[in-house]
Amino acid sequence: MCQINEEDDEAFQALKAAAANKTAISRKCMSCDQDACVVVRIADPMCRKCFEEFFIHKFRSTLSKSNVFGRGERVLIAYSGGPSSTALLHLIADGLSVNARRRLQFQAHVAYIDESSLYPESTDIRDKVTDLITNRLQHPLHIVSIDDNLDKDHDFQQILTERTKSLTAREELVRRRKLKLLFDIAIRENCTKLITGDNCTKLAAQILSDMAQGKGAHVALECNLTDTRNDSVTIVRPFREIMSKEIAMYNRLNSIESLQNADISTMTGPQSSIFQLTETLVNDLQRQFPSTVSTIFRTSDKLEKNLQPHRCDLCCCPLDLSEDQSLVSDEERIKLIQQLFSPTSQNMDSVHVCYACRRLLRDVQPISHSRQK
Amino acid sequence: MPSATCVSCQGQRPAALVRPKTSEPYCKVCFFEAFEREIHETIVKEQLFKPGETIAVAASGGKDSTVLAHVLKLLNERHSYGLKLVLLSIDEGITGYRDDSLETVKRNQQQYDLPLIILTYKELYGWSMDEIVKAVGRKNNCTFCGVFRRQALDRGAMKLSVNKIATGHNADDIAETILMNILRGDIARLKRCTSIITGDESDENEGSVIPRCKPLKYAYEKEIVLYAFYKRLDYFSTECLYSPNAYRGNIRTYIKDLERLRPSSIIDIIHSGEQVLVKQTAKMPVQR
Repeated sequence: MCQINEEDDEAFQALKAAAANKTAISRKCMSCDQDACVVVRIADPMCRKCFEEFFIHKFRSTLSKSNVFGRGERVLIAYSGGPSSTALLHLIADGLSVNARRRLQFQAHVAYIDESSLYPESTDIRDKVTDLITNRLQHPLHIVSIDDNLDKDHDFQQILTERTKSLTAREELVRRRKLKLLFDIAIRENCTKLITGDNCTKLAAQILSDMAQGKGAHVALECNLTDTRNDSVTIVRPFREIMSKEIAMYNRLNSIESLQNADISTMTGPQSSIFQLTETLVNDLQRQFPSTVSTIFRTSDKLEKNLQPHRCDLCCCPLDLSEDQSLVSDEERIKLIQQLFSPTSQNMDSVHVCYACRRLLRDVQPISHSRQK
Repeated sequence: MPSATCVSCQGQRPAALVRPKTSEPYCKVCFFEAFEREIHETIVKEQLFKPGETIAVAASGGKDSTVLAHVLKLLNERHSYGLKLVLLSIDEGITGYRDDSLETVKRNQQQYDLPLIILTYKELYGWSMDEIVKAVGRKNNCTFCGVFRRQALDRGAMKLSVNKIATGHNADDIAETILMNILRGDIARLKRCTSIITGDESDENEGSVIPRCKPLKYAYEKEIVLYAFYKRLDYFSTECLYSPNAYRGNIRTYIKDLERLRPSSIIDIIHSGEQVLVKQTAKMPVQR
């Protein structure tokens, strides 16, 4: 119907077979009136061609509407191996190709943060990543280990397992550490932009989870298209209005495979951390009320950014506490922050953290404490 | 092994409970003292009352309003706020729920020796909640009831000529409301819901309405229950017949789970809500 060799498209064939059994699926595409193969949003059926056009258009218009990129600008793409960042790479590859309409004009580098030191069974993830990015897509690739550049007193895996008492705190530490490393790579490679594959569904869960941890002041920043928390590198989120389901459909139709990635939350259950709990809530509500994710997103989009000039030394967001309340006085914690999160200058006179990061640090015990056990 | 001595009096008395807010062991005496002191500090810091004012305590007979009435009376005497307190109760006309809790309020009136006035939806609007639910079905009932109740409280307050209304909204309620407003996309309410006092001179939108304040804003629901239990306060503890279908139930479960993971989450959500700023350019609903 909508492509040249429909026999080759097994996704389409599978749906056609299902359609033969159930009359309900033989609906017509809302744009071109051909047979539909996917349903987007609440109940809008679309054929493959129209869906792909819709998907790609959403991505390109998000970028070009705001004139985010300068000609020849060096940008760093954050690749995690998951479906969103894999789709992101493919869309960018298409956009950079010679015969693309209104071709993307930036120079793309890719960064991958290797977390395999945090899990006992490490796989050959680096080879797979190198194969995809260096060999097939041919972008410059920068792989950095999550415990890059730490001294022997601060083994990241040990900090996470022995000194951090809750999974929530571990997830949040890893998240902040990854962002810090990505900023470092970007600065080192002279990239002025960092593109992430954060999609709308994930952002909605992140927004509520951040609210639950006291990060309400930064919600406007976390869901914005451009995030200027770092003065040298701006984060860009082109998928912010695309649902995870749409990405999954796009990947399926184009046989785009993501890497099987485990992280510290794998196999821990839906109530193991604040983020897991929130993600479960959002998915459950979305099933009953299909506008949940977009409403959360729209509401946060209407919020104003916090304009405080001073930044938190952990998450780089503007401070939401007064000068003396945000000051860290504990020496061990100061050393921890300096090791894991310090900017290029090692000696900081005073360390300041925002409300949420201060709460996070309470879950990380000082070394002397854990040695007593 | 948690220590079995109260952290506040450092062992003078054995610990009787673990405080939900701080997860520390407390004896009964120190817990009462801490609970009452924190409410007093909230009242002073936020300048909720002025001497000589008459305050209507919105009393439903439930744990929050019973504790509110008890603590306000206590603090008014202990710290000489100079307030005149009255009890204001609203009968929504929910059989099997409100008629029982009103008996509790009448007992409270005698126990605390405070004047009481009861207003009903039926006489104010011509409809009781039971009649409304029969007409519209069992969905979105809280919306009708909440809107009617606020107006009923205002009317009752004017009848009693009070300066302010005090409601028993606790920290859990406010945290739920913040999240609900995000989930429902209600930007206007999101801005207002963390205010501890609404409708006074500082609020440009509501000039001629009687101000409402929430002295229990930072008190955890669990602590209110513990306080009421240990003080053997007389309150009515069944939930409203129409609440199981409410949207708020989803969020209440979420917050209870959050509290189990991290007890400070409730106060953290309130902090988040207070930090949220709405863009000047965002479209707000206009009251006509």
